[in-house]
Amino acid sequence: MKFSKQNNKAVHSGEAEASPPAKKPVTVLHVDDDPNDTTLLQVACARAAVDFQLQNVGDGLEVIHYLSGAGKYADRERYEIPGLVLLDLKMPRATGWEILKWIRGHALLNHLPVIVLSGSELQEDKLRAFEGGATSYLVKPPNFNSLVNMVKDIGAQLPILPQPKVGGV
Amino acid sequence: MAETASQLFLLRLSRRASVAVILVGGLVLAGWLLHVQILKSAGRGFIAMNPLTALLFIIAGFALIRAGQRSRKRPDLVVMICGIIIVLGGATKIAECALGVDLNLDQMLFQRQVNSGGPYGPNEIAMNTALSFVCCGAALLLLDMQTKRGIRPAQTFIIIEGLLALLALIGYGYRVLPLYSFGSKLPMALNTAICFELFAIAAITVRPSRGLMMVITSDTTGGAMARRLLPAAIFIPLILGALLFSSEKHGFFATESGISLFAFANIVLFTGVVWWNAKLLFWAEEERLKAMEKLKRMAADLERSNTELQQFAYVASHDLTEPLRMVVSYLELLNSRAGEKLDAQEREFIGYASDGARRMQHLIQDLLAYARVDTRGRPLEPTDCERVLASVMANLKVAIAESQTVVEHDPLPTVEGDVVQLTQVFQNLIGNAIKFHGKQAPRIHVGAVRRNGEWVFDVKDNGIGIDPKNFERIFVLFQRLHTRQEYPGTGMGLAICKKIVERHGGRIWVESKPGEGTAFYFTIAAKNEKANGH
Repeated sequence: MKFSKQNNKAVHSGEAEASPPAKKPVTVLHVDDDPNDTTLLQVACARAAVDFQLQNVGDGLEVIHYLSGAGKYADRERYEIPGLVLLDLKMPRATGWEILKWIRGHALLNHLPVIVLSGSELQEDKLRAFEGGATSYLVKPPNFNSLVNMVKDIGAQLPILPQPKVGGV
Repeated sequence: MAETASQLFLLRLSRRASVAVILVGGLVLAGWLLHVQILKSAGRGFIAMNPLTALLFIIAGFALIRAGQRSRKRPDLVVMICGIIIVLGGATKIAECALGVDLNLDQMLFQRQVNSGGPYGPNEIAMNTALSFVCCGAALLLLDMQTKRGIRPAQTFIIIEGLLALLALIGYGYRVLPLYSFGSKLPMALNTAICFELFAIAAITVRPSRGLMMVITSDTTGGAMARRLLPAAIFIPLILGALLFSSEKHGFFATESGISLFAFANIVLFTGVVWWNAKLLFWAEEERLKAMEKLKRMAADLERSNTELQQFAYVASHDLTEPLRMVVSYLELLNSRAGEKLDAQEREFIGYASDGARRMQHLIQDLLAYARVDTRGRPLEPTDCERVLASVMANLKVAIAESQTVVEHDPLPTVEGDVVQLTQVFQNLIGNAIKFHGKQAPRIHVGAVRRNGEWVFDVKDNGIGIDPKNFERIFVLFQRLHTRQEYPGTGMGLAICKKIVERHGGRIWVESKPGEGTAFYFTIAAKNEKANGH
């Protein structure tokens, strides 16, 4: 789709070089304001025994601060740049659409994989997400077991997703 | 085409006028036969109608009666032959005069009497009579012909002939000789002129839904105006002219004053009539504009209500399903984490709660599907029902295999429809047929028959059947005939089918007997479409 073969080459070469020390687990940034969804996703990740780390941010503006490294998020040891963003659409203070637009407009972060994870299965939302540059669109599963399976799939897909080029990583 | 009251009135008028023409012609022939002068002419001292003229009138009247009874599309051969005879009758007389030949056809019948004639010499057909007959015959010949622009030549001929006769009648009325005889020794007889007028009336009204008559008989303001103004246009000048003549004859005033008064009276009367008509049209237009305003308001209301419905559906899709997702997910989580610590009954309770939440999820989805039939409907376009059935079979593959269902079908047509919605209908009906099976494996038959301009589809099964008292109920929203333990379902499938079929302009109904299978029928309008393989 949008991502050229160059990025893949970068990932693959990155992986080849980084073999000896234990690879730091990729951070997946979950953007959702609903604590229920957050809890369920955390439990599902534990149940699926995935090897990525889940970080949650519940506010639209906070996400932008996190990704820009503003305020407390300057501590990149604690708040790593994510390798994947799971983005809900209905957020306070900045909607999912606005966050997506911000990411895609960012000089360094614009290739960050973003999966829209929404409760809506309406066609117009899907179209709008892809037009806005989303990597993929997933509908929040209606029950827990499906959620666990979805998390397992994401974990399996993570290594082959193109990573953003960020200086110093 | 349904006939308006005016059209029926005109057809009756045509028939009566034709009968009158035949009668007069018959009486004249009887007069010649029995040597009775009164029957042959309009009165004492008037010229008698020529026997050939009478014969031609009888043929013309008969042809018009026949034309009024037959279908209007295909030209009637008999009417055309009558037309040709009449044209020949008139044309030979004209040719005689033009070429100076004397065929004396008009003196063939009752030769001796005709030749002895009366005070006016041998009774020949007058020139204007001959010309009028040519027009009558031509009108009969071309009665149903209509050019692409809607011009009907027959009307022109009828008008010419009618005007010639009208001229003669006015001449007789006002006693002006030149008007009713030109170029021949003998003028058109009075009863001949009357018969020509009757023929003109009969011929112009025999096709009340076409040409001139179409406007006059139509339900439009134009028709109303024509019906009011035409009698005025005909009778006002006639009456005023007659008044002028009689007042001059009685010497009330001189010619100049008479004519000035005549002009004055015409102006006053016609201005009055036109003004009265204009007022009527004005009121009619006002009513129409008010009705249009009302219609526009109703359309705007409908538009708004539709938008609200779509917004509601959008909200329902997002906000109603979310809490349900929570309930279902947490219950599952609870079950898997605390399951061992609970006893059997407590786990059952959790199960019931989960079931309830899942049922609600299905209900919301079906409710949305019901609302979307209209709001998400695609415009109707040619849809191949064979392919629809094929995709339905693919969708129901698992259910068909598990229940060992056999589905047969007749060739299905292509109809104007929304492919997604037609798929829903077939899938619902066939899915039900599979679900509600009895002891035997389901056997389903899908067919289509074309009847009265529509396709009647049927889905027949050998399942448990439906009690006739429930035939109406099953199409109602949320109505189910069984408990959830007996058969699963939300009670919306048939309601959605009904809405879709009605959106396509059709009807849906069921025939069944308990224990003897069920047949669902629904119709889709057939509009110039082709059936596959037919």
